[in-house]
Amino acid sequence: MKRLFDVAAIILIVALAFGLYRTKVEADAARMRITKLEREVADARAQVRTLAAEAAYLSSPARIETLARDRLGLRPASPGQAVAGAEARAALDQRAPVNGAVKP
Amino acid sequence: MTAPTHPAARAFAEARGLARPVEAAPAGRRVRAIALVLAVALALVGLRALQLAVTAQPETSRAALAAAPDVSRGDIVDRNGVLLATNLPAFVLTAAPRDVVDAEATAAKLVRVLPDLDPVATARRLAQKNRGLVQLRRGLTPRQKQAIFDLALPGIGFGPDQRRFYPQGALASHALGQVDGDLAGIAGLEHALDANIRRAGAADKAVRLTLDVRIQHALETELADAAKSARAQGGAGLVVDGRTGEVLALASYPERDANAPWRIEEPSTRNRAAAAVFEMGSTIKPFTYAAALDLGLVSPQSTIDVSPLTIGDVQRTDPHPLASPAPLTLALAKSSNVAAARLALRIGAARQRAMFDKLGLTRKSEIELAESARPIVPSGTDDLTVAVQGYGHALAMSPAALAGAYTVFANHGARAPLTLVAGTERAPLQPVFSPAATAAVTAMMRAVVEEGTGVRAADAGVDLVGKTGTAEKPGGSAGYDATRMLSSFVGMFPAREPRYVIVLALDEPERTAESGGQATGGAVAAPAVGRIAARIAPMLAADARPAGATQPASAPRAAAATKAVGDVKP
Repeated sequence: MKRLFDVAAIILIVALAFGLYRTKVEADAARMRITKLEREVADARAQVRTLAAEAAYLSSPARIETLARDRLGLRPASPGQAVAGAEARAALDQRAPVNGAVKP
Repeated sequence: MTAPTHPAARAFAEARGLARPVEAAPAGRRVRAIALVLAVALALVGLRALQLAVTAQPETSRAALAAAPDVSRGDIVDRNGVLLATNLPAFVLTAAPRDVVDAEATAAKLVRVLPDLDPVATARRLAQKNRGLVQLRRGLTPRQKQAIFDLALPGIGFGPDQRRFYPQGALASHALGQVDGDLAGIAGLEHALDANIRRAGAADKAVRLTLDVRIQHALETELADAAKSARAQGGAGLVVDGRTGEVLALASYPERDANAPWRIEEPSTRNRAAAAVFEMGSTIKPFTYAAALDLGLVSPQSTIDVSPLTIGDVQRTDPHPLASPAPLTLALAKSSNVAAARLALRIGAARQRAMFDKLGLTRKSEIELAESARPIVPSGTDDLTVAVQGYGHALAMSPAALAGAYTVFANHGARAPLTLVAGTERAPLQPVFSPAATAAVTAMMRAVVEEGTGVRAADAGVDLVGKTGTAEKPGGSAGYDATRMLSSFVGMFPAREPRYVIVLALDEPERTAESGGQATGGAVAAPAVGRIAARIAPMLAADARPAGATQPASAPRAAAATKAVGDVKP
């Protein structure tokens, strides 16, 4: 009887030790995955920064102005081109007969 | 078992081959001792294995820590969130001197890829055999790294690093400043806001400025055009929202590429808008007029003696004398020095100094730049000093300080301290003049553009008010050098209710054909200010059209003009 108990206890200890070992190995694997993912996040962030910097460079006013002037023939807006509020509506109303000519 | 002692018994035992040699007993104990030692050793190994399996940390976490350095500096963005400065991944160039075969040849090859690396110092560092690892250069771009990698130099390696990048290139480079190799701010806002930028970086946020890249670009291109066509040594410009003191643009010419290495001795690195002082000349006169009106010494309808003025043994005359006495408005419009000098003398030394103090012209500008220059304030209170300060001589200030002083015309006589950082708590407005005095002077500055020295400011079709300045620079035997000038113009718009202040100053412009053979503020600076106003007025939703072109519906336009610039989206 006592011997049976001893054998059971030894089996239990071995099983627990193995279980602990497996848990430990799995935790290690998970930790390595976390590290890998964290590095991926850092890499992705670095890439976002690089792309944001590139977007800012590509849309910088100096570059856009050159392109707009050379490719599209645009020029800086002048004060006479800007109207606001009621005046803009009035200007649109004046054009109404042209646009609304198809109306009955 | 003990050996038999009786001789007969011993003989019997020997006969049966049972007897053992006397040494046999100690040998048995040795076996047991060895077994015990082995058992203990095995137990130790087992325990250690168990300990390792349960408690040891994985090696990978430390490696990962080294691979990803902290982003210690936050981004800098303009008022609309456009990126002005950011950190990019980079590489640090390292060397293990023990593995370097030929220090001098290695250094020579590295210099071919990195021309600003010192070959002698590098060779010396590569020869330090007692050092495990030396750091040769930080902030390598991926391209530079690849070029060095391709050289396949023994002992040369790379580590992860960060570098500061300014995607807008030269845009706003004087305001932004520079960082050193360890990404610590050494100039401009990078230096002045170092702690804020680091805090923002730790919180993964950005520092937002009051600058607007579109307005900054308009100012920089017009300043560069004006400076080039007048062959000026340098130039400075600012655009300020006079209501709030927010600096919308700050530029210095010659321009500087923010991504190029900083060389402090180069003239292009100097921020002439904030870090240099000039005697600004006639652009100071509006303050003299406002003070005289404020003190009740004159009224807007007054006339003033513009005949030659003798102080001590020096006689002062105007280059283009007016018929005396002249109306006050005409005296300002035609920029009479003797009129401003007479007003200054009537104001007196003490009240004049108090006015300059309140205008912030006797201290460095509040603008958040460590290099913001201290003005040169004359100590004398004699008549000559007081008189010449009335028309902008003797007192030298930065263009930024002048822009700050002009905010009094946008705030009914109160000055708004300048700021470059958005969202900070605004310093309260500081009353300098009465609203009536500034309104009267604003009307006179309209005459400057309509019939005075600044008529060319209206060339671009913008309605603005302003004042020209053409100051001879100190030097020569006579005290001032008539051939070297600082020519400037301060313009404000919308003319009906000035809000935005534009300062443009050119350092030593030449008389060129483009400016009609003139190098005065009215000839070289005023047209540029007009063009800047024309370009930025639509961005600011401010109506800057000449009075003749306006329609009767003026009320909604006024509302649009007072709209906060922060609302304007790119």
